[in-house]
Amino acid sequence: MMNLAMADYKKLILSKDFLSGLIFTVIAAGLLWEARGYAMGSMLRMGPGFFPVIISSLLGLMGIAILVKATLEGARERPVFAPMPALLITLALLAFAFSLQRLGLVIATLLLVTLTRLAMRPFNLIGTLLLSGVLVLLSLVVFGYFLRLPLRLWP
Amino acid sequence: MELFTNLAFGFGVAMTLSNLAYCLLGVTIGTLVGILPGIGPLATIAMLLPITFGLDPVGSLIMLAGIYYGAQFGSSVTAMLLNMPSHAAAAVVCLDGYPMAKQGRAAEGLVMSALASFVGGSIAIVLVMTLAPPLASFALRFGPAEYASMMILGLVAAAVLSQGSLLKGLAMVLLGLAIGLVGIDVNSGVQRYTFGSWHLTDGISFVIIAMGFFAISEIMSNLETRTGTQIVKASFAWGDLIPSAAILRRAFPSMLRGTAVGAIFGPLPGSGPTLASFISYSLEKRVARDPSRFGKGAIEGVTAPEASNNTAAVTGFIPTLTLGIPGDAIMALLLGALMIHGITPGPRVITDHPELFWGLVASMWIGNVILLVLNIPLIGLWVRVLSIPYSVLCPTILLLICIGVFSTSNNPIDIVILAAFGVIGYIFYKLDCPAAPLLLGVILGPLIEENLRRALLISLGDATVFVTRPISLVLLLCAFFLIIGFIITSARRKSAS
Repeated sequence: MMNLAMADYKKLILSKDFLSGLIFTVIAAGLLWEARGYAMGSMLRMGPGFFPVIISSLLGLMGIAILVKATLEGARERPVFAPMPALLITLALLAFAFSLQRLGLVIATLLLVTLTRLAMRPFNLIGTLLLSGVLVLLSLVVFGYFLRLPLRLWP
Repeated sequence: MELFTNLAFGFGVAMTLSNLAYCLLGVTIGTLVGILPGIGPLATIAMLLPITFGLDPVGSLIMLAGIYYGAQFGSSVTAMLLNMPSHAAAAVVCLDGYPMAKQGRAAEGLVMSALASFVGGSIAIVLVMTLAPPLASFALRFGPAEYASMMILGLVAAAVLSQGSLLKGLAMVLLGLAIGLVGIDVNSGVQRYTFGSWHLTDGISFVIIAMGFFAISEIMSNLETRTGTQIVKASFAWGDLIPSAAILRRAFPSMLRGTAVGAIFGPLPGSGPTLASFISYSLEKRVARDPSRFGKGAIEGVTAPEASNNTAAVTGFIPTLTLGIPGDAIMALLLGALMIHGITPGPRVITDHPELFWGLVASMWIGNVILLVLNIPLIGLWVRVLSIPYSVLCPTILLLICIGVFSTSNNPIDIVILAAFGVIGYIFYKLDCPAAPLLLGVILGPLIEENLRRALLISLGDATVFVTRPISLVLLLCAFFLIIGFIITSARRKSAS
């Protein structure tokens, strides 16, 4: 009996609705905590804290309402994650951000393209190199020449 | 006639060589990007926004509007040939467009869809011209209390109509409002939610948020479900591109019905083109003599939603330009773009920047004509874009987004923020939390706070001002009844099932 109940709780907590309610509640609490240093002001002269406190309180209410509703309805639907592509895309963006000014456009593009293509099977090395080359040229023409962005090519 | 002098003035603005070029460029690039599978008009506009920041306000708005129509046409092409809707409104086009393409009638479907968009768009432009100026002069009487109430109505409508859970929609709106707060408070100079980061004192650009939520997270979820999609083979010879008189006769009334539906739902806050498409499709099914034809390639199933879609897209400019209240996330992006150019959206736009308003109206017409005369002959070329493999497309799109984001402030930190919003957007997508209400909140957040502050200052701190001023009260009641109505209909649906 006990085990069954535990499994039920686990299903509820891992459901889409319960998780989103939890996220909103936590965010709201964080926003309220951060806003404690802002002056509230008065109705006549709203201080910098007035609006943030209203918004984060309302967000917290919504979060709790979603939690309650999920619990009452017995939400069960779990979100389906296949995190590998999302992870690789995030890595690709971060790699690009960190290498663009330090290592130059060529290496940054190569990193971005390689990591992105790793998210797609099958991986093809020659195609990746070729595409990187074409894209470096493209971004040079579009962004370097037309928009005059200060892009540096090599380390 | 004042209308005609204004229109002539607008054409004078829109017909300058540079503005014509921006319009042409916008429609073409918009079509090109909008055709890419998985990239809808919203993502297209978000991706291409940085390009327009270098232009003058009029040119930039003209180009963005062009991108919008182009992207809508482009996503119809994808919907029909791949059976793959890149946004909600295109899902309607799939219903009959894809069967048409499978029957070898792809050319007919696409040409009729462009024609329907043109008919709807043209009528909608007349509506914009006649309705916007009086609405703007009515709105001149609005004080800060009315503005704050109207924005609240807009946000509530966005949450209610986002299809899905009302609570999640409202929570996303509130989260958006909170994100909009990041940066230095203009009144007190206090840094809010910057977490000690110097870079966040200017706030987070809505461009980065839109790209993260609508482009990056789209790509992430596209990549995990990607299976080989088959493009329907289609012939686009010249002969196929001229629709027969019988088809035209059958489709024309449906275009007009679609236009009527679009004109009603386009300017309403929160509804926009998506709702208009769905409603006009079900209307067609209801008025048809033989409803069983639908879903099997009925031409009315394509032309009515397309006319409705484009009408709603164009009439959506009415509240955006006259009241400064965007109806959907796309209009919110355009509004944000205007604010970047230093134009405060509101009823004064038409009188203070007539070149912007009338130039845009005239360019809408030009854009719709360009779409018709340029894109139809080029359909064969556009279709070839679809056969580009995703392994080439995806890195290219990511690189363009990265450099676009980088170009907004020449700081790679923005790309890190972009990645963060991509991940957040991906998680919210998985949890069925709609992203469009959040974007609306981000853009309207600072405006609501400012109007709230002013309204309370004028009323000497009396909060009842929002319910004692009649217009403000009506607007708030609308928001209230929207929520009540939603709760009742969803409760009824639940007890029925």
